[in-house]
Amino acid sequence: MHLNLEVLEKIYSISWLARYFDEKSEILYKQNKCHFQIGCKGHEIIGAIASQIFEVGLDWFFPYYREHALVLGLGMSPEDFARNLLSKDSDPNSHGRQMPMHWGSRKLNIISQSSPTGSQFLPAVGLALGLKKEKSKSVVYVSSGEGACCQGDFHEALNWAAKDGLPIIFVIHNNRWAISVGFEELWCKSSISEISKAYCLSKSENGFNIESLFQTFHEARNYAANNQEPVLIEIFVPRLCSHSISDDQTKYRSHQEIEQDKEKDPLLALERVLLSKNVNVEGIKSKVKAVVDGAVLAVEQEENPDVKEIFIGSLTFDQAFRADESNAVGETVTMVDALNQCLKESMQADEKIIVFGEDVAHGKGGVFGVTRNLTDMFGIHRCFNSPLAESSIVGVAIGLALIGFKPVVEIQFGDYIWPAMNQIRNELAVISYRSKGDFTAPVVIRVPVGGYIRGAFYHSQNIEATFSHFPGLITVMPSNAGDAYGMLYSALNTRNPVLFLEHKGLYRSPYARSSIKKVVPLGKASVVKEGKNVTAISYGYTLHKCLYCAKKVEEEKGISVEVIDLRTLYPLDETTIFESVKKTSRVLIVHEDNLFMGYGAEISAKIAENCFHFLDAPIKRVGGLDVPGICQAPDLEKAILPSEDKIYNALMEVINF
Amino acid sequence: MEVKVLMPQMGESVTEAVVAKWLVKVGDFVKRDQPILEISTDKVDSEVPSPADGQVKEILVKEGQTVPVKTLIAIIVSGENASESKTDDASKQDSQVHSSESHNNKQFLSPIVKELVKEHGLSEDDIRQIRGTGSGGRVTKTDVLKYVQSKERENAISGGGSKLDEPQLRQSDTSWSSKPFNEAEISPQVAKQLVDNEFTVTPMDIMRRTIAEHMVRSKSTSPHVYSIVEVDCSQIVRFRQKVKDEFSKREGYSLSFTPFFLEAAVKGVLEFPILNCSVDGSNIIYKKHIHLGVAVAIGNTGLIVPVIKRAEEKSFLGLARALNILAEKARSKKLSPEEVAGGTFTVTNPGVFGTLIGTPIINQPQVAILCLGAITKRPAVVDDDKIAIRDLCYLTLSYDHRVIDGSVSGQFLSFVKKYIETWDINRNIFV
Repeated sequence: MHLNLEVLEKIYSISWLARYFDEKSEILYKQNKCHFQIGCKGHEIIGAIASQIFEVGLDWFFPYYREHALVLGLGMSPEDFARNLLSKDSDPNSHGRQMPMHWGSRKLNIISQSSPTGSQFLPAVGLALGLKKEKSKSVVYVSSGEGACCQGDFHEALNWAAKDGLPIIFVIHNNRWAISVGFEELWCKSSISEISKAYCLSKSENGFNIESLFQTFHEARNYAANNQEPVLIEIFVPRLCSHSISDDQTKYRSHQEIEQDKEKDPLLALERVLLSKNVNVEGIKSKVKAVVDGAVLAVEQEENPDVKEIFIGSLTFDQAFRADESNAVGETVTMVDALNQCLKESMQADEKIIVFGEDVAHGKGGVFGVTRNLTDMFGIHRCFNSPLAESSIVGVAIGLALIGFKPVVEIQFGDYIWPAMNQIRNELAVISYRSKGDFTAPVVIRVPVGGYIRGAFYHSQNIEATFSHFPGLITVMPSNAGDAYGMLYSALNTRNPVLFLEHKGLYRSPYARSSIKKVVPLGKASVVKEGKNVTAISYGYTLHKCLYCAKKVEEEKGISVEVIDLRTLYPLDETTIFESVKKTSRVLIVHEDNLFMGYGAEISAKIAENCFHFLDAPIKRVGGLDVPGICQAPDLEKAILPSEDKIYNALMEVINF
Repeated sequence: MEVKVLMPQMGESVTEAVVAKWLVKVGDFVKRDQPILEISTDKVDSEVPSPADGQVKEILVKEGQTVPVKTLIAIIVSGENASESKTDDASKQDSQVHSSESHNNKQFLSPIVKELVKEHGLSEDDIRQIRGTGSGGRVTKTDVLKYVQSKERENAISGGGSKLDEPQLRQSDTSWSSKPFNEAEISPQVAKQLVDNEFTVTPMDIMRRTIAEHMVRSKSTSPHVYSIVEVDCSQIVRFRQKVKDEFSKREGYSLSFTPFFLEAAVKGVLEFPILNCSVDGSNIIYKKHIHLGVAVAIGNTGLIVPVIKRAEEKSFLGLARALNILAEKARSKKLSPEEVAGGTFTVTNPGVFGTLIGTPIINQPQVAILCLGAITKRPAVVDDDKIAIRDLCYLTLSYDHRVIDGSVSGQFLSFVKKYIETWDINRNIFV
């Protein structure tokens, strides 16, 4: 594309549209019609130019919150923009669910964005990876301020993008202020491109140099698309406003500096060019201003989001929940073999399934062997090793899932999932809801968890209570091979993200051996042993201990114990629990994780709230000790985790009340 | 200070007792050791003395209610607290009201129990009648369901009417739950007749139930055989006539015929020790001492068997005294658990009620019981083939044929007969 006068005028027009909307949002904020405002003044030129280079409908965008001009330039209508400011249901960005300036548009391939700085990089890399796998001509545009480049995710993203040669352009708006912190306070080098050049082709530009910036964008997009390599463009622009409506930059910036910045406004440079060509800039500005005012006026009376629709975009109760449970058939197998078999059969049937994680590929096939032979069978493009970085694993999986892949990623141990917490909590579990279902990321994260294996502090953790707390995420934990197969099958066939917990102690345990069930629906607990006097609720490894104690109590005391295997921890199958409790009136809840705020607390509360009138004894819980970690020495481990003795005694306590 | 009154454990094997009667009420002042209630167990009935001086603050278990031993049944306020409330009638009344409320509150009902109570329209009285099997005697869901079941059964019997004393019937039902007789099933015929008002149903009290259980067990344990002899009691009748006034004067109670037979029986048992044994599997356990049980009727409602320990060491007078004391205690429900335990041979005397010949059931784990018939004047063939009027009675020995044969029983009875018939009219029993 050539930067002719028409394009210049368009860039100018888009820039002022953005700036007037920026100013309008401040007014609306003060009128209590808009509930947040974050400015773009000084940054408009970047998005305005980029929007003329990148291809709408082909390329993908992860724009950060100062990209008013980009989204407008890509084609977001002034009315939609106004809807965003006014948190209307018809707002394509988030349907009134996120703060304004958190972009997203299915139509424009703008991926729904969140607030945590830097968390967009890895999903962007994942999406680029997907484009490359599909041999697409598209590229990914991901932007942020220079402050967000401090995040580890930024560096992980550059590394992965560079190592795999992905068509992605990192666009860094460097206004030299991360809210109130100056560039020199944060960085070891004088620019971001100096740092990123170790990873990929990097270039710094000045927003003032319109032509050069245009050219750079043009070349970068072509380079990324044609060479299948990442590029980083850093653009120096002034921040002509405070960080946001909640900030006052005069508290940390000198008056002199603020005034000097005004001189560096790229729109002044552009205006000078246009004036030199006798363009009626004031006419453009007044026209644009009228568009902004008119758009706001036009949509102000539109419907606000309906509270009745508050659950739309949260979990979808699709076929994976409604399917009938298959009968167990064939020889008994170990849980590890059941999972491996399910992955093989599913990958055979669905080529969108891809597996990655640490050590999952080649002959190793995962540290527990769950992904064994997948690379041999399906090739390295379908089962490959990821960098040793959990945030990368989940973030990239999200990006892949956004464009139709079904990533099944492995976090090597539950203990190491925490670096991925931001990607899981703020992106994976939320993206569908924050876009009212416009975007979904049906990732399956497989995680070996649990103790009883002398795994000590960092090979024993139980993580289900933490992750079951995130309502956008399904959490499951099978206790036997048959369920493991059937539930992984369902996890692969739902449009919701699934955290698939696998207990290391059950992988090859004879207790967990069983025949394969081809389909086990999500969200359905299993009554593994019927009884009438007391209900024992558990899942995973401790389920087997519960069963042992239940049988012992039955043999010794003639008391009939019903044992429920929850299997899916979120969403919880309350019906099965309540029915059982209403029958027996006595409940014991057992889990391996420590007790305080543990998973059992929720079950206990649910029962208390819903079955109070049916209870004949206090609800009893058995869990691990409330100590910060599970110690290695066998005696210590034994004392920390629930033993059969503890469970048996608790069961008798409930029975004897 | 509050002093707790706990249900005493009347014997090691006793696990529960009935509050038979409260002798005091809330607010009463009691002296230490003053009897405050009567209790009843399957072994003994007894009075419970107050553990302290003070005022009765709370009575937590109603009359007729069965509770596990060590259950808190009352609270007595001793010391200053008691005297304070004594001086202030108003506060005394308040505390009474309060205490009765807190009594109600003390009976913890779980949510499901409350729900069931509502669903089945049970009254507070109903709830009190249910014997709790949960922790601390708490009424559990199962307890209520059992109770309701028995109530339904009973309603079916009485045609849905309320003629029966329901709670009592149910109480007996629930408290039987752990006993072999727990199935208080009433046959369809009986049920029909009940509907027709042909009879009423009265629950057994704890003593009755215990007797019933023991009797059935004994019959199914021991093959009973009975031997009977006729004894000429003329000698002891004459002897008693001769000494009874002096006896009454010296002892303070009148001389009955029983001690004569007790002495004769003791001598006989010493002669035939197999009568003083018990059976343990294929072993015979011979007892060193003769602990002589004597059945004592308690009105028309039951009987109890206090035991004269080491009867073989006692003189005639000793036996008579022991008998008198124990019989008295039995009638006034003051027997201690020890006083009814450990019998090795029993004598029963239905003769006092006019019975000529009895065939009693052995008091397990003993192996024989001697039954005294009434002494009546009857014609008898005496020396030289003359017919004379004599004081005669029949003695029956019921014995366990597992260990005792007819020869021994015959010899034992003959021994006793001879002992009575040859009583020395000049014997000085007061030595």
